[in-house]
Amino acid sequence: MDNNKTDIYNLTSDVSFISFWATWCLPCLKEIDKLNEFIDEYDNVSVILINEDKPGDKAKVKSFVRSRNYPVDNNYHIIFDFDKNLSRKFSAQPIPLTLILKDNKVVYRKRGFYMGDEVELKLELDKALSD
Amino acid sequence: MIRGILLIIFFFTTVHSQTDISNRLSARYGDSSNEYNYSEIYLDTKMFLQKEGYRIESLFTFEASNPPEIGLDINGLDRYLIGFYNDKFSFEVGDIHQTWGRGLLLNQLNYQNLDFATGSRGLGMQFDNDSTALNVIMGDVSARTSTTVLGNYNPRIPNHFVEEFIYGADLSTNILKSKVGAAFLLVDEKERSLSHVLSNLRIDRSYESGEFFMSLISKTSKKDNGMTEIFYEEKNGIGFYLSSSNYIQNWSITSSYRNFKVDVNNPANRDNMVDNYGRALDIQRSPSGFYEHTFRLLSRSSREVNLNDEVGIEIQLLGPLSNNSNIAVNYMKSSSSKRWYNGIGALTSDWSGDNIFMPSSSQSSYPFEEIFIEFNGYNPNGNIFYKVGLDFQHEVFNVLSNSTELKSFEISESVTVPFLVNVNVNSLWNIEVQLELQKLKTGFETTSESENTEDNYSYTSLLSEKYQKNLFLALSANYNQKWSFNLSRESTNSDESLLDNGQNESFDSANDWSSTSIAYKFDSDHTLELFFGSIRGGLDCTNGVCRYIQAFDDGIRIDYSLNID
Repeated sequence: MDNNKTDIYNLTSDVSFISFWATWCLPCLKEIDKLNEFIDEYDNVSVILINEDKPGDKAKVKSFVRSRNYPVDNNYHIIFDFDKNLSRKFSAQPIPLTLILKDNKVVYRKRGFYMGDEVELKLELDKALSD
Repeated sequence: MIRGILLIIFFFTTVHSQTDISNRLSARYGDSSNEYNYSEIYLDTKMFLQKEGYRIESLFTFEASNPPEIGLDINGLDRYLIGFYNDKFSFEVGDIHQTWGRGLLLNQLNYQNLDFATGSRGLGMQFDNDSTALNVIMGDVSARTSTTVLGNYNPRIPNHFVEEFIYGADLSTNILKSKVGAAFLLVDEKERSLSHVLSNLRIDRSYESGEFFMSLISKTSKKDNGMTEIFYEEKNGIGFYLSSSNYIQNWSITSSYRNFKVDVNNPANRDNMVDNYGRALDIQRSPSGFYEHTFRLLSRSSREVNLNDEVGIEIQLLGPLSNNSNIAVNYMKSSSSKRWYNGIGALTSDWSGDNIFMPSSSQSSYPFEEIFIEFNGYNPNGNIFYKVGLDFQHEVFNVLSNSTELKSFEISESVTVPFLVNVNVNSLWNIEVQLELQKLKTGFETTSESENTEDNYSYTSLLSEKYQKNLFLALSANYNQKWSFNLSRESTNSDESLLDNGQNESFDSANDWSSTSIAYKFDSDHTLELFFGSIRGGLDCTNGVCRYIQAFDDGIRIDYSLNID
């Protein structure tokens, strides 16, 4: 979001929560809303939301993030995937795709989001942190 | 090639304990009563080796299609990429996809659903330190599309092929709290003896309450006349894009202006993508220009930005109305960079144009205007999500004549009301309803000067009714995150066969399309879907790239996908 290009692995921590999303993806927005309700409880988890809107929508995405008060900080990142390299790398289509990484290895993978799935996400985060 | 791939796989498997391997298999089959038949299988194999200080990744995509849903038959390796990455340097070999800046000069995409692929097969390198990055690219681009300019038009099978060799570099650095970038790209196209030189300057600045972006490109195209005595003039084009976002508490306003004149042509030659050798390249994409709709009927009237000749503005206001609801207001207006006039005599093909710098409403300048308002939000309990919109569009597609004797324009106007509600009934059931209503008018407006000098206005509809009334209704129910049941129906009151002009055998003359589908999720990455029924044809757009997709009539589709980590 700060206009700097970065490697995703520079943003991960011991346990990281990654989600591929776009402003036009309804389940993605639901998932992020639910994530924001509980992520405060996980200080040591890096959140990386990978945006899949098109390059020209950068300003629009930033506006969107601001208007929804997403808590962007040193541990909560929103990055753009304009060249779709991350999407290809993680087989992200169709979105939403959610990953939990432990030591940069995928330990949990979930596609789609329904209300109530946040319970499973919390359980998986707890599991990754306790392993 | 095969030996090389085997060596790579051997390398990764010998260090298997340190390597992550994942595969994705997807198989699709379709059979319809209007010959829209396909069978295709894709296998993505990814390998990832992480070591202290660097990592190596590879991706191979295999395809077996006969025929594919859209595009050409491929049996074997379709794409591959092998890359080495560390903090300061990356090196890639294979099918490279890079975006420089916001894509005005280079934005390489791969949309399988549109058969749109502009990656380059070759080398890509990136050098990076804290404040400066250098990207280098070199390789072959094979772009293809279906066009009515050439014979044998088929919306599913490309008939226009462009083979290019591209090489260039992009440098960006931080200067005085701004990110400044400069790039050049050289493109050779042997088949048509063309060479293009593209350059780009841009600046990107973020500040506490907003951000600002500006990009300028120039393009020069030369065509070698070879052994002929034909002289081809050098074509020079430019493009300018400016956008600004400002935030006031939770509200934001984003506005953009674009002035693209890469290859300006009069109405007689405007859409000739084959012979206009100065045109913008497939690897170039404009930053945002029009709102990309997700509703079905609205997505059919989406637009692609015309890099060759367009002046446009876009304004978006976005913000919360309450804790649970938001509003977005979008206004877009664009036109050609010229107003076009015929010379003396109504039927002459001699055109002249006046330059304009702001989008015009004059019918002689291909105006487009759209207002889209959307409300969305949740109920206080958070189990009901809704989205309702209102859209107005007006467009002139064609300037057929604009002289003192005869003015004739092809126009389109529409009003659309889309609505969506998603209800989480309980922990097992989720239900979604989508309803869209549209009133559309499309045809020719003609004003001729009669002998007694009085103006005569006439309107000829391109449809069997003056106003086409479209309806789209979709119901879906999901059970226990395993089962999904979907019903959809789309209908129109008007026969569209006049739009065909008899050129397209695959044209759909139905006015009712219904379908049923059932999907089962074995787990979140293992899905099987069965579809029965019809889908209306029309424009399909993904991130600003649009393509006409033909109708699918009374058939069956089977989709299967599986991820293996």
